[in-house]
Formats: sequence, structure tokens, C-alpha cells
Amino acid sequence: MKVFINDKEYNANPDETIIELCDKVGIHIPRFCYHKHLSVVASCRMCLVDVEGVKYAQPACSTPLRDEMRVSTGSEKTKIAQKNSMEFLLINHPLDCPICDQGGECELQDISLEHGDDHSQYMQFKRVVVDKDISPLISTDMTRCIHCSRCVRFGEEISNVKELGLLNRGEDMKIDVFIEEGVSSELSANMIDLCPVGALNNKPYRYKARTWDLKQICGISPHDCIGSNINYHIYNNKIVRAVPSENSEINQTWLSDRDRFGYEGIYAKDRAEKTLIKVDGKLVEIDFDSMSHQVNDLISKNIKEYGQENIGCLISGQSTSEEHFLFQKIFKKLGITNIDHRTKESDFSYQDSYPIMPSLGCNLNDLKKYKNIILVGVNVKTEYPVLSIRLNALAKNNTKVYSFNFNSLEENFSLHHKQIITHDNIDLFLNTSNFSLENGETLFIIGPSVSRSPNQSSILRKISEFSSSIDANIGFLTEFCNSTSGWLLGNLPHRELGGGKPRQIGKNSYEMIKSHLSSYIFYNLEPEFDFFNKQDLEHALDTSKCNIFFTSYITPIIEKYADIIIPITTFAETDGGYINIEGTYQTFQPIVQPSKNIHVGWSILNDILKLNNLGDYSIDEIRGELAESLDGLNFSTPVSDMSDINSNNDMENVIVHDLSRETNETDLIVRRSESLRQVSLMNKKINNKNIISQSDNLQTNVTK
Amino acid sequence: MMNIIIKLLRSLFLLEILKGLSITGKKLFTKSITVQYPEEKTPQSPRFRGLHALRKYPNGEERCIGCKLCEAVCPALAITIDTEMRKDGTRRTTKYDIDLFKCVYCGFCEEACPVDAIVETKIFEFHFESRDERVISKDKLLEIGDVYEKEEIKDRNNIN
Repeated sequence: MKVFINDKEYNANPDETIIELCDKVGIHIPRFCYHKHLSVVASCRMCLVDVEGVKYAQPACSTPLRDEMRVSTGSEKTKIAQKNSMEFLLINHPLDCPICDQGGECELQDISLEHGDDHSQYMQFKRVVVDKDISPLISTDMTRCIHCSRCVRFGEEISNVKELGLLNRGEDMKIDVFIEEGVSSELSANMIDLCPVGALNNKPYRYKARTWDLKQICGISPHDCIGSNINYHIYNNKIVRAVPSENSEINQTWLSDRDRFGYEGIYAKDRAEKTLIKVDGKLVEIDFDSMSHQVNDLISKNIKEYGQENIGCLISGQSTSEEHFLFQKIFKKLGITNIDHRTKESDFSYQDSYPIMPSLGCNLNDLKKYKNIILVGVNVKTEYPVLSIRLNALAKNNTKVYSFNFNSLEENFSLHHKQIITHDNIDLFLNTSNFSLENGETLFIIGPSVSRSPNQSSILRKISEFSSSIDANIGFLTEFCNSTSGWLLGNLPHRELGGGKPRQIGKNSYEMIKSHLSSYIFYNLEPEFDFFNKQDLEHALDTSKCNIFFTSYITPIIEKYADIIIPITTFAETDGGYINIEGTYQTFQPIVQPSKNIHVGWSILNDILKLNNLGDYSIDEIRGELAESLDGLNFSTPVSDMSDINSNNDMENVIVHDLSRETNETDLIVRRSESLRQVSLMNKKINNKNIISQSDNLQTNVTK
Repeated sequence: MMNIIIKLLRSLFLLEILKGLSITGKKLFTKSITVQYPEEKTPQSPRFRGLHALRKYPNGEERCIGCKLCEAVCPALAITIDTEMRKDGTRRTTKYDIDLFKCVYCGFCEEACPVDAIVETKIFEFHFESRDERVISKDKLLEIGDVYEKEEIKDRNNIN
């Protein structure tokens, strides 16, 4: 189809609107209410353009192109129409740009400078709207609102949590919360990005800096295995806010609140900032430079005294791939076989039949080829909020989503079938007589609640048997952002880097803790929350003779049992990379500089490697070797059969119901984010209120 | 031949010197343009750009809202500002430093200010005894503003 924009010929697809084509070919059209991921309402009238043969200027966002159409985006008619729209939009908009955080990145500011007039004919008083405290994450100045309704449409179409609405008509029209409690969804802060003016703004960032002072560095989300791309904004070597970086393959233009505000955790009060060593029962600070010698001496002393088989090495699934690579390299070369990253699991009889790496088996964009998606042991709404946007879009588009979980949790997309796995139905929970599958491809997504359950092998076997009977694929969602690297790079007792079999199989994390080894090495783990059983761990730490902690935070247990504490960098202060659930390896650079006594994680591991004459790497060499050793491995094919899993477990039919995680409790950085903690508090308050009001209703019913 | 005679006559009667002396003589009887500083001072324009000050509203509230426009416009990067939310929810500065060695007294900060908070007063005689004193802080600027507020208002009325 041939169309002409500003007298230049373009080829357009049928059903394409003027603004879509103009965006594609790079012609600027001002707009407020139009957003490429949201429905078209044409309410702001800012994108009016001159269409030949039509008397009045037409909105570019809702006018479809037709053959031989002639559009002019710069003609006098367009200019007058846009100038008049701008004047209307500014009738009630306050002139408080100097104190508005949006100032400098405000669409209204930019467009009014480019397309507006320098004076207004309206001399009346401006409208004032009373603000409400709607969320600990979003600050509101509703007087600034221009009623583009992007935030309302986001709630209706993208997150499917309808929290904001347009109330009243005419001059009384306002954006407001339906329910008094406020905005509490896991994706709520996306409304900050969508708001073209300063009406909805980032509350923790409020008044901290101006946009033109900020430096932007791209990072990868360390809080879930989706691997959202984030732009961190830095002011005075401190992260002040985070915004999504567009990646159509992964997070599109969205970001979960956890990814957006999780960075606050790196400024927590209990951050480890000194290298401490235990001398006569007391922790004393040691010299920064001599630290690597001290640690290395301690490790070699342990090996000599207790033997390799009595040392356990545990690393967190949140560490970077580079750290995972060096960690297994050091300890496997030193002859230690007890090495693991699956600290939250307790049943490991599945491990030999498990695929080389847990993976979704397809790209997020390819999820649409599946007609049935069966979620087992995962609450997507709270655990993977960005994925819930995808599933919501799929659920609206004829894909049927089924959910099997250990406790009853809400999802914010429509479920075709929902079932709680209980003790009684454990054997039959996957029974086609309970629910009907659509014809077409089926994908099982196995979530972290399954891996935390004490009988995960038998559940995995049941799913595997069922999936091969209906010819379905199996994909996984992992506990931490980089558990994939733990599997792939061989931080496992039964596998080498790339999945090869070792000569000797070591103890898994559960056995390590249960069998009370003489020495433990912990990397980036929080003993309070990151283990299957805290009491067992404390007992093991108590009986062991030497505990080495590489950690970013000093927790009470670490302080009590550590023999040496090495402060290491978090995701924000180091070079690194994560392998996400699609198998994409995404690298990032340091966002801020660490304070002077904190060691860069991979470089301290490299120092230990160097001291043992096992090699010396730069970050690029690590990445090079990593890529080399993973070359040719195909981990993107979905798993369909794991039926040779043997589960000779006494806990086979035990179901533990409390396996789900709070959205803001998933890892040690998120747990320390002050803003997210306040959101959790608010949610708890809302839930309590709901429970109370429900019980009130019940009582009144009874009395009736 | 004739030219040489004229040249000789000119130098014989010292005409050039008399011409020069006549200017000196004239200036002897006109009003002098120099002043005896520091006893005497030159008149200043109401737009004079001297030492900076931060103004307050008549009710004692500081005018500055921490918008950082002066910091952004300053060509010499002499201004440093940090802001935060004050307890009453307003945007305020926690730090407002001007490095007087860097400042070129261009007056852009004054022009950029949306609330007329930062102004350049008529004070032009100031000195420091150590290099550290060259950075003046928010407290000092507000103090200068308090002292020179009346004069500032007078100057502003003169301009308009």
C-alpha cells in the first residue's frame, strides 16, 4: 500500500495507523495518550495531523492509513491544530516545573516548547486536585494530570490489576484509586514511566536530583531469572533510581517494582565493609591487601587438617556467572567435591536425570506458540511479575493457562483451571479427567516451589510421565536470577562445567549441612533465609571448626559463627553477567564504585586461584573461556522426558504448603530495600483488613 | 626645498609640544574622573553584579526551592546544590555552595532563578584570608541576603 507523508512515498501495511508508520520511519508526531503497548483512545488530541481531502485535522493515533493517502505532519493546518490542543492541555496544568521531578524529561514540557504557543488566552484560576497517599513507591501530584489515561489503561490491559480509574466528568474529572487502600500491585511503578507529566512520580527518588545531572548505566535485574534490562541512574556515585531499558525480547518496556526498587538493598545498614577475622573469639579487622593470603592460608590449612571430603562449598544462585565459573574452578581443582548452589532444596534424587540447565526451552516471545501453559508450583504474579504481563497477554489471546500450586494464591491473569496440590491428590493431581487441554502444543512451567518441596523428585517424575503421555514440553523457572549458571557451570556435586560427569560425586547441599562437615565456605549466602532448614544449618555451623563467609551483608548468624568475613561486591559494583531462563547470557559493567574496603567478587576469587598457581584471568578471559566451554551446548530445547528419575524418598507423598515466597523476600538484596519493605507492610495491612471484613460479613450472616 | 623650511620652522617654535600642552591645560580645569578609593566610591548601577545572596520571603521562609536551574546554567560550574524533601513536603536545598574563585559574575544564576532567590548584590569589596573561605555556604548566603534585602528591593524598583 502506497502512502505519502510530507510528500514522500512510503510503503504501509494495511491496518497500520499514521502514527505507527511515522514512528517506524522516524517522523516525529507529538502525543500524550498514545503508547505502543496500550490501546488507542485518541483523547489528548495532540497528534492531530493534516490529511488531504479531510476538512479537519485527524488524530494520527487512531486514523488508519489507506491507499494513496496524503498526510502532512508539518503543514499550517497541523501546526494550528497542535497549538490549540496544547493550549487546552495547559489550561489546568500548574507552572511548577522547577519543583517537579519530571522537569527535564517531561513530555509536556518538550512538546509545549516545540509545538505550543508562548501565551494563553485563559486567565481563569487553575483547577486544584487533592492528592492521596496511594503507595510507598508512587508520589502523586494530581493537579498536574492531563487525563491521558495511560495509567488506567496499563492497569486494565497490561497488569490486569485495575487500581486507578477516571472518576467524574468535565472539570471534576480526576484519576483516583477505586479502593481506598492504595496501589499495591507488583507492577505498579510502571505507571511512573507511563505518566507523560509529573502527576505520578517515583516516591523514593522525590527531590533527590534533577534529570540532567544523572548518569545512566545499563544493568541486568538480579532479582528474578527473567533478566530484565534496567537503566540505573546515578548521581554522585549513588544509584538514585532505576527505569526499564527497552528490550523487546525480554521485558519489553516494563519492569517489576522489585527490580525497580531492589537496588536500595545495596545501601543497607548491615552491609559488610571490613574484612574481619576471628581471633580469640572476637572479630578483628585485617589489612585489605593481605586478605587474599589469609583466606588462601586458611583454605589450605583446612584441606591439610580435615581433608577435602570434610569441606563444603556453597554458592548463591544470585552470584554472577563469572563468580560461578571461578568458584567451581578453584574448589574443584583443589579436589573438593562437596560443592553446590541449590541451598534451598532438600530432595536431590532427581539430579542425575535433570537437564543440563533449567530453562524455559523457548524465548519469551515464542511462548505464544503454546496453546496450553501449565504452571506447577509457581505464583507468577508475585514471583515473576514481568512474566505475568506476558501470560496475561497470552491468556487474552486464546492460550489456556492452568495453575497447580501448593497453596491458594491469586494470579492477575485469567486461569482456565486452578488446583491446589494436596496430600490426597498428589498422585492424581495431573489427571486429564479433572481438566481438559486444548488441542495444540503444551508447556509445563515448573516453578521454585517444586524445587523447595521435600519430595520434588517424585513431583518431577509425575509431571514428566504425564508430559510424555500428552507429548508436552517442560520448562523451568528458577529460584535465583542465576541458578542457571550454577547448573551450567558445574557448581554441583555430580556434574562438571558443561554437564560432564566427575570422577567422584560429592555431597549435595542438604547432605553437607546434615553431615556436619569440619569446614564450610559460603559465597554470597544469607544463612537466615537462603537455606532449607535454618536450625540444621546453625547446628552445622556450631559443630564445624572453620566457617569462611564471602558476603555482602553481616547478619547475626554470620557474626556469631564466622571465622573470617570477606566483604564482597553486590551486582551493582562489579563486572558480571547472568544467564537468564531463556539461556541468554547478558553481561553488565559496574554501576557504581564500591567503597574502598569492599572486594570485587570475581577478582578476589581470581586472587585465590593465582595464589594456588591454578591460573590468572581477566574478566574478558573468563567470559571467553566461559563462551568456549559452553559452545555447542544446546540448552534451548525444552525438556520433555525425565521419567527415569528415581524417587526413593520417604517424604514421597508429603506436601508442605508454605512454599511460596513473598514478592519482596526473594533474595538478600531485595529483603533490605526500605521502600519495598513498606510496600509489604502496606499489603499486610490490606490483607488483614480484608480478613477482618470477611469475618465480619460471616458473623452478620450467621446472626441473620 | 619648501618642505624642509616648514619642517625647520615647526621644530624651532616647538609647535607640537604646545599643542600637547594645550590638552593638558584644558584637562587641568575640568572635573576629575578618578576617585579617591576607598574614601570615595564610583556610582553603581542598580544592575551591578557583585557578591551573591539568597533572599527570603517577608515571612522569613527561604525563597530557594532547589530547582537547580542556576547550577545548570552556571558557565563556570561554581554552584553546587543538594536537595531533599523537607519535613513539610517541600523541595529544599540541604547544600548551596558557591565557589567565588570559579564564579565569573555573569549573572546567569540570577536570570535563571524562577523565584528570585539567588541575587548578585552590589557588594564588590570582599576578601578571604585562606583559600578555604572561597566557598560560601547556604547559611552565609542567607545572612548576606538578610542584611541587603532592603537595598535589593530598592534596586529592583529602580530597574523596573
